[in-house]
Amino acid sequence: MSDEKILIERVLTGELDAFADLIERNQKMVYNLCLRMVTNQADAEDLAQEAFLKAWKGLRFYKFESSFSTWLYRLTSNVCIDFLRRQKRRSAMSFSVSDEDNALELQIADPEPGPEEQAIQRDDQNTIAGAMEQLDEEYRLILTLRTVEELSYEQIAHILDVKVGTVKSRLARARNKLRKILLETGNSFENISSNDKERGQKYDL
Amino acid sequence: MTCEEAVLLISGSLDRENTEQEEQQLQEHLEICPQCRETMQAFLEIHAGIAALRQEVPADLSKKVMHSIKAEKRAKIKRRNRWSVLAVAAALVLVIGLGDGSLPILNGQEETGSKMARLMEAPEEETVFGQMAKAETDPQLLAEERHSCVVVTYDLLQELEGCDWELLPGGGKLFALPSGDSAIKLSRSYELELYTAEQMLSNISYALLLP
Repeated sequence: MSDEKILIERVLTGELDAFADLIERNQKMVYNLCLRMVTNQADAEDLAQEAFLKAWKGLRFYKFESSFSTWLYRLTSNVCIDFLRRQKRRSAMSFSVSDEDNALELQIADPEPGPEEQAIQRDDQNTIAGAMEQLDEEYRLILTLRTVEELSYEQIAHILDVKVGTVKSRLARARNKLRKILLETGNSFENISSNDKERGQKYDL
Repeated sequence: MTCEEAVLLISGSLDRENTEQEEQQLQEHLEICPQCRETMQAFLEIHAGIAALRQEVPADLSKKVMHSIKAEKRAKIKRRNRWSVLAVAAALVLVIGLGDGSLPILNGQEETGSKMARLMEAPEEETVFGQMAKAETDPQLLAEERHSCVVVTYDLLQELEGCDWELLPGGGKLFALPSGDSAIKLSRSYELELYTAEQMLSNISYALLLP
């Protein structure tokens, strides 16, 4: 039985300290996944805590069929995506227009970039993180799982519940999109000319 | 090979996930295509750039989680005690209306994801929106008891703020509806999709258990 499996068994029998060991082993990957998904360090820390809390509560449903890290990556991904969706909804301004018979709900998205987005644009050090933030969340997630967490296509396929072929094509699209964002914002790592910029756009998958 | 096809293999090559044949095809294309060589270089730099974003974990993360777990354990014991009292005074005040006028939720038959439940404002002035007899999240128990659930939409979620909730195995929240003095009153009716407990327990973020 692996060390991790023993730890999980101990947690399930009520040993709380064993869970602290599980956190120590996995916190780097959980925190970095959260950090890349939400960019902001304070949010990332909150989400990492939320992910571990959910892992503790849901541990009795972990069936040892996949590796514990795969299970935890999936759970953490869901926590992050849930957070991002809530955040999107919050940034939409909601108001009601009433007449005598009906109440009509209108949703209007706020077009102004938030202070966090503006800070990223200003800070050259955060170029790549800023470009990542502009990516769709599915691209950001898959790039993080591959590049930051260094997972294989097979592991990623398992976490996202998609085929390996989908992982491959989605990663290529994500990289291409990220390159385009960097080119468009003039913040590329590449020394690019305007011709290159056009080329970058040609390779849309 | 087109440049579009090459992009897929460039990405795969970077990850060492191409087959030998794919790798050979890519190399042949790269020899004759300067644009794709640039793409390869760009992808490499992006890869290194993202990898460099890794950060150390805040020092007290583990401590904070363990603190939350201990607090949660204490709160759970309190909630359990409260629910056992409520179960004794269980009077059904949740109003459920379905298109055909039947109440499959209550007889517990054939609930599926395709049916709709309507949570309405109750007619009596003082009547509350709902009550739940059991805040239990064990999937087997829920399946056996054939509870039905609705997925809570964002606007309804706003109204449930302050209600107790239990964590679902998939990471979502299962809300418990209070009754009596602490009951909540909805501002409007909601049309919501019905799920069985088993369906709900998998991937839903916010759910409401119907009695």
